[in-house]
Amino acid sequence: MSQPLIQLRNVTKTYSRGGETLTVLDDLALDMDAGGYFALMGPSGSGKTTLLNLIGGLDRADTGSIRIGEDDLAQMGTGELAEWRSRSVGFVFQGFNLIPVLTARENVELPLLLAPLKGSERKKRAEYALQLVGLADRMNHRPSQLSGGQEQRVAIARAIVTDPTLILADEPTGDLDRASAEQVLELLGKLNGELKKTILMVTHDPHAAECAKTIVHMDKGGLGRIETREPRKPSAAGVAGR
Amino acid sequence: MPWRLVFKNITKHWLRSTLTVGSIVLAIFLLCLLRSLVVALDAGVRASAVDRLVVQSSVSLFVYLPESYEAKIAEVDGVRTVCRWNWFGGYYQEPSNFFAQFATDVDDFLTAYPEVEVIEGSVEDFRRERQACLVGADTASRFGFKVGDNVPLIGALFPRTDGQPWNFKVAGIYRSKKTNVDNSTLFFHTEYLEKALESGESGGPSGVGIFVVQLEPGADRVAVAGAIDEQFAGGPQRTQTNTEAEFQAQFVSMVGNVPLFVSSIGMGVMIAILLAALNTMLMAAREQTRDVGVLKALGFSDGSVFGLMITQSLILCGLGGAMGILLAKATEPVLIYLLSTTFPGYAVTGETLQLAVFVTLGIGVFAGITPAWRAKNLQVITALRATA
Ligand SMILES: Nc1ncnc2c1ncn2[C@@H]1O[C@H](COP(=O)(O)OP(=O)(O)OP(=O)(O)O)[C@@H](O)[C@H]1O
Ligand SMILES: [Mg+2]
Repeated sequence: MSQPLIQLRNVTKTYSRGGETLTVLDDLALDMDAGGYFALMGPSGSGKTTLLNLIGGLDRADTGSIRIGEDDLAQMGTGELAEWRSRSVGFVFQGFNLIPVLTARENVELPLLLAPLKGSERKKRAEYALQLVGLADRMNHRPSQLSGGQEQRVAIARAIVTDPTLILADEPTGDLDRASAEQVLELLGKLNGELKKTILMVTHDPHAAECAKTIVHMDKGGLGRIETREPRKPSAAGVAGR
Repeated sequence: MPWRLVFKNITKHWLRSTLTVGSIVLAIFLLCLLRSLVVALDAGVRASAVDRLVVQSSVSLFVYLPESYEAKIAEVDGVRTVCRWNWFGGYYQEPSNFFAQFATDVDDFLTAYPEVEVIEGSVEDFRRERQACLVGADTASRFGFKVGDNVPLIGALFPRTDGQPWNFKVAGIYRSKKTNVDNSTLFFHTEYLEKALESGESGGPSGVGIFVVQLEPGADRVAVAGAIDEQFAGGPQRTQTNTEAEFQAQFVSMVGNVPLFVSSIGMGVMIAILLAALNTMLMAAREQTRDVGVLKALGFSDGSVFGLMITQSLILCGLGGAMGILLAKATEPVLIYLLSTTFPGYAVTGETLQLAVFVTLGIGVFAGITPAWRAKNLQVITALRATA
């Protein structure tokens, strides 16, 4: 492999709370290759979300450099960073974070508003993305009319609709039951296998982590073991569909 | 900018949006109404003629001047006509049926007040017959007085000894072309009143309430007024001569306290309504904190979320303001009719509308700026963490 897609060097992140400083990430270095499927595991409070947010450009490191492809996030201004996010990253959060007043299709269309596209083209792409996640028949439902699993699949459709190279998912199965979780994992596997998306997924759940090709363990500000393994094939089969 | 989101955020909570818009409609309507009442109060002053002076007692408007002053005022250089005005203070059937009546020198009155236009009946009949009267169009339509009708008025200030009402014959109905003369007054002959007092048919004060002086063209108002007052400086009654505008302004300041009181309350109510609307909008904005975080995570700029929040506020306020203005304009004819006696000259002027537009935009910005600013500066991770 040539250059890794994600390159972290000497990354430090501290939070200060009431005079106390808490070092969450301490001089961290990490490479992730394009096309990889990474699971980030570790105890609560070990800094998984913090790391994910730094890589996704939602927050800034105190020191060190974060390079994604050709881009050095530390060098970008707030506006540039927002624009970079809209082009390069798809986010999937634990709480789904769909906009409640919008329908599934409108939620998926949202990131496309930032691209120079005609309304009809946006609609077409949003519908295609929803089809990919198997929700073509739920396009005009609002989040409150969907199940948790369906909501998360809508969120995944929203994450991939701009065709980003990198998908960042923070405990995407955290709020889901087994069957829905398997569906989501199956979908992520498909995005990695068929659409060649690089995926970084934070999870507590060993079942979920097993689906990744690489498992990165985190512990108290630093990286622990990194295991590369044959991923488990998630099977939603046998567990009823929606 | 996600317009669809603006639209949906507003329509999703339609009850809340409707109530917010409704309260702004009310506040803006109230603003227009109060402004227009103030306009009405000032209308008489603004429309006042420049060629008329009013002579009154320097003590008070309620102190009578001697009859003999008329001839002396007429002698002053620059005076064209002098016309006596006496407050009659009668009522038609019920004391609550109030409208003003004045005893005047009819010929001088008609010369000095070209804006008073007789629209029905005959000026000549009014001049000729002692018991004739001229009635304002609003009062005529209020009580259904027609030309030729006999109008009996109970003389409260000038009670007749026989206990009967005074009788006036409607010779004409007038409409004033300017707001300094309202359309609800009844004018009749001073001689009618004088004769009754002299013959003892009626009791009541003698003397003259005010003299209205019409100036010769080109006469110097200030000089003439000074000359008149100087004449009576040695008594028996000192006078104060004002321009008609100053004279009218005196009434505005007399009733001035009441409208001020009413408009202070109105303003208070308006501000309370606005604060309630503001509070609702701030609450609505707070509910959108997570949405703002999501939008930012997706790559929407700080500027666009700022725009989103302030647009929502401007749309709600703009809608409310526009409807409030329309309501004020739509009710204008009705209010002109209803307020013709109490507030003649009620008008929703362009200036009032401008003020309303300005206040509407002000509220929109004021209510939108705080949430918009907060949204702009909100950190994505804080917004997402708030609900995770
Ligand atoms: N904005 C913040 N201000 C202060 N402290 C913070 C902030 N964000 C995170 N922290 C602290 O940093 C540490 C790491 O938080 P982080 O959310 O990255 O953990 P995590 O590994 O994702 O945990 P979990 O598995 O519970 O989600 C925690 O102790 C947390 O309290
Ligand atoms: Mg976390």
